[in-house]
Amino acid sequence: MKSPETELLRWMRLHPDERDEKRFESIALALFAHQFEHCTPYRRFCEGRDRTPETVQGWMEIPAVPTGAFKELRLASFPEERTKHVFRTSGTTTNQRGELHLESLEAYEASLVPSFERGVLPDLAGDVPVRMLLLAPSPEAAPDSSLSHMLGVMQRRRGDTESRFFVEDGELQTRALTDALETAAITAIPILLCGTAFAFVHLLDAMQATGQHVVLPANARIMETGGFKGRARAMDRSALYDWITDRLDVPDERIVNQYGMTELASQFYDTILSRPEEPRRKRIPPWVRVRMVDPESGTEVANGEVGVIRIVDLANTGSMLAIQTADLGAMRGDGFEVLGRAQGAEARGCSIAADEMLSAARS
Amino acid sequence: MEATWARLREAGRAFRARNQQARLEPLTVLLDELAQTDSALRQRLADRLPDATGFHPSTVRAGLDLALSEWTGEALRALFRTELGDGTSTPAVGFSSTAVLLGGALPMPSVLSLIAPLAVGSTVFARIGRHDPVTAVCIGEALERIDPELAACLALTAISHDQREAWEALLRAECVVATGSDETLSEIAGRIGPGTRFVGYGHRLSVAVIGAGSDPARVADALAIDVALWDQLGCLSPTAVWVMAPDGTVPAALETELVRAFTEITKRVPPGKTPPEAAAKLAQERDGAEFRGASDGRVRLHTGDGWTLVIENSSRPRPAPLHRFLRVHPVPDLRSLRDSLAPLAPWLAAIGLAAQPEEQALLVEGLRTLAPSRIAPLGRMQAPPLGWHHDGQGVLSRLVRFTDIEV
Repeated sequence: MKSPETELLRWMRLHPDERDEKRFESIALALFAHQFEHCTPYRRFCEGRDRTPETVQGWMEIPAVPTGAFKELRLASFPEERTKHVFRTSGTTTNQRGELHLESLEAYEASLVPSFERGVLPDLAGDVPVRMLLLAPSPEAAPDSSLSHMLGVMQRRRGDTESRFFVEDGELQTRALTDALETAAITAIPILLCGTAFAFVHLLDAMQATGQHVVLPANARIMETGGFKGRARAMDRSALYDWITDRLDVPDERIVNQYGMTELASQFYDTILSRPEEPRRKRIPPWVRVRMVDPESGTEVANGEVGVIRIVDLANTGSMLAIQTADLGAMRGDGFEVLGRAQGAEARGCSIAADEMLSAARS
Repeated sequence: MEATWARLREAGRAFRARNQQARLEPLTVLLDELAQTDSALRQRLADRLPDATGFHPSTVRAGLDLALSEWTGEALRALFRTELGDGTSTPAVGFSSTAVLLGGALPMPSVLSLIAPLAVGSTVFARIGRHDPVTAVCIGEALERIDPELAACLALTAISHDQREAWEALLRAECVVATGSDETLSEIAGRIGPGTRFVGYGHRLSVAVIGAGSDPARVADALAIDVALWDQLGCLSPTAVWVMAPDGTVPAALETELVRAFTEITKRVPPGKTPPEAAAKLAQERDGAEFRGASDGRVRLHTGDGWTLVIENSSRPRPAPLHRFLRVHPVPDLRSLRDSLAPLAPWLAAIGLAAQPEEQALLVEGLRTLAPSRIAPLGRMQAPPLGWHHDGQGVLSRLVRFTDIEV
């Protein structure tokens, strides 16, 4: 019998857009059994909930690991000496950083490439080079950053020779970036800017300070990711998009948000470019299942209702396939929406949560 | 906004013509009414706050009972004497106008933020916060009944965040008092003029410390009330407790009593509504504790209807999602305790303390260097005196200008 990872890779390569419930279920249960057997902390957690490979009958019953646990323990289903790569969370809210240990990057990259292509470059043939201007450190400068790794993979596959990373020594090189934008604006090559929302704020701040506007061509697009948690400055996403439109002339419908986290091998992209006629929502890759659950009871909420996002990602082969996030969302058709905290919302009390304060103490 | 300021200027002139005692008198009447559980003002607050704030009616009643019983008229007179003296050698003059930006759903900070500038003869233009549209209105109505001339010195508004011009007009006061997150306070500070006095009350947190020889049942009951009131959302609510435990483990007797006390207090003072974002964070921390506990028997999770206790395996502070979620940390000695609390020191509002007299003296001596605003008995954390040094500041002294007369 093939290993669950081999089976998964075969499915992902042969049918990257095809949902197959039966195959998903069988790989999920096989992966669960594998992770249960080889990851002691996870096995103990599952046993505490009376969930074992013998009792779990379907993927929805697989106990989900809270993302915070990745900051506490090594959650991998292979021996430490076989670790090939470690991605770490940014550590913006506590001093501890979550870690994703990988024995192989094969499933990770088999997941990221088709999702990125479909979410960000759906209108471009696979052999069309793209001018990728990346508001992030390079994978060499930040080897434990999953975002840098992802962008590096995509740059190698799709970037033209002028594509590059614009964060050096922790600083966004705004002058070099705006020069590159002005150069790119007069070429026929499709332009893609990728980075964290906070990096875009830095760029726009710099452009505003000098009164600079760049009119990017209609084929330009932007991929932004991440929030403002732990940052001194926060901004509503719609305000950020308005600002981008104002300074770069890229309209809202050409801006894609990516929802991802270090603990997950797969990412979720807005459908705005791949299905522009439909309302914006996050697309779920075939090898992933997303459910919204009631935070108190843990039961699934109805379609469209707000719940906590729970993810089963088969591409997390060497780690934990079932992840419990602390993010709120709602299912929308065959995708989902991530709900952020309203900006300007006042706290109900005057107590500060200790993680915010510890973060401030260490920044 | 301009018309309101003009009306306040007019009212302020008449009010300041009174002598100090006559200015203070109606406010002492107001506080005495607030301190009486059966007064119409207290009843109105108790009736209207639950719907407006999301707190359970029992929480509101218990919170007001504990907090306001000693906030009397006499306490205000004493505070005036303590902070401003008799006014002969160092006269203190209140600003002619004060803008008060109320925040949060807890009523006591709003009460104090409104009456303190009035007590020093200033007019008050207050912006009501979204989470408590009740307290300021009740205070205004009560003043109208007690002393219409003083009531005319108070104006309320509910301008929203995006009403830029209205904010600019509001912040033209001589003094601005604001309650909010550090981010909010710094934004406000950046918008006021250079000559304006700014008094900011930031978001803070509190913790509790239990000495080694404490009676488990008694401290558990005291801690449970401190946590339950205002659903742990106030800056005086303990978010975690450190237990002096030379062997590095939380005593089993205390753990048992805490579970009992949290179960019991929930019946008497049920929790209010938990917003989805907070519920998500609570679930994440609960699941995280369960996960750690599965591999480390020293970490134990206890949950009930709207409460969570996590017995921790070390003294290291961890995220505190509030909403009646308490971490119990063992700590072997005072030095380790101070090391654990040091990262929290800039934000410490209160340390609730329960210890035998000899140990208590040592703990107070050791903890005072962290400069919390209060070191209070456990069970009384939500009942600060009227003149408590909120954020380490005086209540009245920041709202006046002193003149040292040296001739």
